[in-house]
Amino acid sequence: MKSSMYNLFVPIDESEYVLYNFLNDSALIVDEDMKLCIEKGELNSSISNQSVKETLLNCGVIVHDDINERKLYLYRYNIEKYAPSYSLFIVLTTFACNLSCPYCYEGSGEILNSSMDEQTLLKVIDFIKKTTHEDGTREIAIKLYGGEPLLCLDSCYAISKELSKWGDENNIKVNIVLQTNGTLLNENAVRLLTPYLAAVEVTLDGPPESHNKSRCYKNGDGSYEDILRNISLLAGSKTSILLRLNVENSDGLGLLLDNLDKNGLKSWPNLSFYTAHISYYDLCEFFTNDELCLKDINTVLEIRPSLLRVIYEKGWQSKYHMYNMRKQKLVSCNNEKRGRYVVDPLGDIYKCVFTAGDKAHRVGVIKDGGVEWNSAYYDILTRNPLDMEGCADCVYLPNCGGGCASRAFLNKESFNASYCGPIKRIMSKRILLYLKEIYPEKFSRLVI
Amino acid sequence: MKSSIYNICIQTDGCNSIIFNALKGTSILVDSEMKTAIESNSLEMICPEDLFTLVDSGFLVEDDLDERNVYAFEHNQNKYSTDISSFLVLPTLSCNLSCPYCYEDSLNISRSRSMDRNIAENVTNFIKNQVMENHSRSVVLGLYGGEPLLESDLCIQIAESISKWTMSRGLNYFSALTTNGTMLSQETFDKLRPFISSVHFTLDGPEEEHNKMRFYKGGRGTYSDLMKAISLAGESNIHLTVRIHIGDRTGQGDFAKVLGDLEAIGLRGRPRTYLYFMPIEPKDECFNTSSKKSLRRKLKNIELLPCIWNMARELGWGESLHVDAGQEHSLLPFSRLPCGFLKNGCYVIDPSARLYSCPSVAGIERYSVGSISQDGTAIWLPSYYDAITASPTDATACKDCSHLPLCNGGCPVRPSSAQEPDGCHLKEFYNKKILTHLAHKYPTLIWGT
Repeated sequence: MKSSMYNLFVPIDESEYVLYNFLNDSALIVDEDMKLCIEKGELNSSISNQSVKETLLNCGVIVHDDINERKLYLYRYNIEKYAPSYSLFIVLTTFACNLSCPYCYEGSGEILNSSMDEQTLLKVIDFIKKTTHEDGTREIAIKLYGGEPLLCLDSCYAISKELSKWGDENNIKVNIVLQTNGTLLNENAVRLLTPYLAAVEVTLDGPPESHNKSRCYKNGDGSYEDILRNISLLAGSKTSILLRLNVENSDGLGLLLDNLDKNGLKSWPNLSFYTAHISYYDLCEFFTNDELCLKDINTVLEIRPSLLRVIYEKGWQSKYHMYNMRKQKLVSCNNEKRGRYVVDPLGDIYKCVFTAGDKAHRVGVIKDGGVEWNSAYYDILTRNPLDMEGCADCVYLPNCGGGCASRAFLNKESFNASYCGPIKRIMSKRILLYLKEIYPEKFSRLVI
Repeated sequence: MKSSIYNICIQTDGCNSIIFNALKGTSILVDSEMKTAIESNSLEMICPEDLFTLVDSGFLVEDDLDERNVYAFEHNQNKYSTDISSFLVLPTLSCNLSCPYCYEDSLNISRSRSMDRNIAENVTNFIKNQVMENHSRSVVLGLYGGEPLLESDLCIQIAESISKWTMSRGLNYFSALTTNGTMLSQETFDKLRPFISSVHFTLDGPEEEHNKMRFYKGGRGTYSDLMKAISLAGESNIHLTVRIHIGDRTGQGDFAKVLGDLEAIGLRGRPRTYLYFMPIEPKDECFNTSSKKSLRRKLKNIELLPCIWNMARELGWGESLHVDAGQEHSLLPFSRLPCGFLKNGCYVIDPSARLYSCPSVAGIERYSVGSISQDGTAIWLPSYYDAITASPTDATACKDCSHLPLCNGGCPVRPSSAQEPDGCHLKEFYNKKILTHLAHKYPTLIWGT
């Protein structure tokens, strides 16, 4: 027997620790003696109680001598990376937008503003069909994205109609999601698209007053009322409505939920929501400034308990998608996996929505005869954290996967490098908050 | 632009050479000037038109492209993707024949063990669980042994269950029975037929040769019984694969005789009929594939194949041969894996529900990499993770080798004692394969030695 490489001890008071195992995603409470035993690997001599040993083994805190946990990690990492259960195509029909949100990482469609032309559109549809066959997946997700995708309603319609038909003919499940600001979702768009759409995702920036300050038209007018009126066209339809509610604190969320209730949204059976936080700095800072990222993550974690309280108090819990803090990250980002594609209006392919349009991050080009991948594609796909400096022996690896490849590229000029970001500084807090959330009585006195 | 690291240059005569690109599977005949230009990266010597052709075919690549990553990507994609899940089930290790070359004998496998019905139930549950976990679109079931038809009821039980289940889920299903043919009665075939897609038979040459090698325990040869079985299966529209062994003494005339017998039972021109020729290989061939001794034997066999193919083609069997580059039975199949079995989503299952990475060691517990529990889930041993995560891109001898996309590093689970005792001799082997393949495909080109 030996101790796992992936044990982290987080102190909860003077004498006790949460022992979290990253590879096995398990948690135990241990005292100082047990901590020392496990840290020193004195397992046979010090732990005589068979049932204690069994528990430690089941939790992956101790492992058999012949197990190479790095290989176990690599095996699971590669399966996640190379055996996708579905293919994802995020299609940017246009970079242009009719709003001018101050925090927009795409510059509100004023830096890049091209839209997909008809010829490119046909090539993109063809690319999706061929690539799905090559990926061997039974299910695909298409996200219509932008800019504001509904500025190109014809493209959205062509993609949705053609690929839904193709999915039916080929026994492939096709889920299409429209990510829109909601201002152009008029009766015509709803009539054309809803037969094919699984969901429409719309963002609200807090209660009307604050929303109208940030999500406004180019002339400065607010969009809240228009959005609510438009999404009501979908109320009760078979297309789901997913609201992203950007909130600063629980007061803002409370006011927003009250307003939605007043407008009748609480009774829509096809409506659900999740909460998020706006980063008020530009993309480059987001990718290169750890301190700003850390500040954001801390804010999200800190306001989480109070947001939950408001949601329950106001009776919205059945519609709430709670962010799963427990999620393991064997691969650092869903988009780093095989079978994930971001296609911009020019037919260029990226691995990340945030970098779409920036040719330094381009991984391929859709051409007449098919797709031409470049070195970045292979570099990202063959990225192996066990080969990256600092990762092979890192206790956090199974929850980080080597970090964001785009950040690594921006900071270290290579996709094949690690990027820790604030992960090490946030993980203990996240573990404790999670445990406090699911075992409130046990951790009632714990201050995080 | 720069030259690909996977260009293999083989001199054909005094002034011409073949350059074969192992990653793309392309080949080009060049004069010494072009050869030098490509090999020494002196691309300014090449005219724009030729440059375009060389880039298009992968002989030249972009400066920033690390082709090792392209290979690693393709290797991993082949190894880990599970659009197909495949299961090779051995319902029994017993056999009614005593073929002298059978590897199962030499490995001292206990020949009396068969699967019991409960284990067969666990195995079918495991198959279903695993297909769902793998998100596969297709399921391949192989029934293998020993002689699987000694347990024909088990074969039917498993194949029927999986066939019906895949149909209810809208999954593709393909199943293959590998049999010595001696136990395939009409009744057994009729019962199995709805649930199997293909039958795989083996012939050891013409009647006289075959009967010396494949005989019943008492010594009686199996040739005529086997022909009856092939004929019986051939009357249906099932896929038929006939493997014909090349023995040390089998000559051209012998193959013609076998083909004549197969023609007599109606196989020539029959759709869905696949024919391939294979040298009989030593029991531990996979483990010693890069040794000098193995090389000499292999080089000889490679020379034989094109002659046999040509003869088969002249006799009207062209449609049943699948020997073009990239096809399963060709000299250059272009797989990115050293072995089709050591792959995520591929499982070899013995009668005790133990799991293996290789059919030739199935039944020997010390080689097992896991087992199927009663609830139909796999319990893997550390050796499974060692074997599956082993990558030739990590091996010093392989990672920069121009031939890597052809050989893929060889069997990663072979005992360390069998690893290149006298260095790797596979380059010569693959060069021979390339030339033989090209000579067969383009017979009008004039070759040097």
